[in-house]
Amino acid sequence: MKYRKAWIALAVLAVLSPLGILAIGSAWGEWDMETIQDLTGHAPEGMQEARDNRPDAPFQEYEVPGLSGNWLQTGAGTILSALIGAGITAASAIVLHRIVRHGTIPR
Amino acid sequence: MHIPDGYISPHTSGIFYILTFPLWILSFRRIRNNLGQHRVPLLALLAAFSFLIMMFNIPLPGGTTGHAVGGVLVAILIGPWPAITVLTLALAVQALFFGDGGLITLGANVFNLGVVMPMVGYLVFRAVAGRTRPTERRYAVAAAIGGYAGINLAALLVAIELGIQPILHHMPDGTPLYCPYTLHVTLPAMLVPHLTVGGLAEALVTGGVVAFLGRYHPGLFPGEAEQPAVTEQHRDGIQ
Repeated sequence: MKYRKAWIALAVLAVLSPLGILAIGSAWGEWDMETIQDLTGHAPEGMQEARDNRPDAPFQEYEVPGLSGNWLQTGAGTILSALIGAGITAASAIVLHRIVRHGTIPR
Repeated sequence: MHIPDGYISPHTSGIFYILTFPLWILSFRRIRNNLGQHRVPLLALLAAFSFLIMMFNIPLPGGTTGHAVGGVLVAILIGPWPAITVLTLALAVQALFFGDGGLITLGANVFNLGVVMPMVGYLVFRAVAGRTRPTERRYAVAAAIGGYAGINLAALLVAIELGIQPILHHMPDGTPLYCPYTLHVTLPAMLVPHLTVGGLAEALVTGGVVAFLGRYHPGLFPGEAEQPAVTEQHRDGIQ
């Protein structure tokens, strides 16, 4: 397999990914509705509407349904999310390359 | 740095889809015409890498968190045009499967993190690297500076996109409809953390990986594998 060592390094990154959820706090400007209500005193209407209409992602917040409750399960869910996400991303790159290669792109 | 749905208006989001669309086409064309079959595994590898590196949140000054993006690193390794596609895939998977960012805001997020960051970061890298080769220290330092510049420019764009929302979209009484903070708040909130810790993290990841690969796998860099090894003497002779 090409880049075998690099893929192993990525697998190690995936296993270490629960470290990334240890950081306390949330990213600026990425709060949920309750937090923004607490921060500003009201929920912006357009934002609320976009939130209400947003379909739930299968692994919202990098959590795997059923894998939460204690830190061990949450950590396992994060690792699983990392592996699933990295896998889908890599596979989609290969699929997209095929489409680009054999399909037609507007000139 | 991923703008979630609802923080910018559908109108602003649409404009960024329109801005990004031709760049996707150009990126696809570059991949079709210039990316050899042997570099496809690298395309997939870098896409998985950028997905993963964005999971590593670190505490930033001000009580928020942030993460490296890897956009400039991807651009250095596979070229800035294919990098647009690589980052788009990572951001799309994050939005679709993990609710990180949003589908309506994907165009804006790709523009910030997948177009401007790799493109401008790469230009800064090239300007600083000059004619140095991946084995040289200046090459890695240039990569780190490019990463620092790239993530901060992306943070600046996010701050502007969020900060203009209350001006553009509000109720008749002035109540904001989307992001409620103006530029006075968004600019320092995005830039101070990224000019310090966030930018440093990006610089370390970009410079560190480039230094490691330059030392142990210099053939991985574009234009390096095809060329026969040029010794310092030869190169100096040419210049």
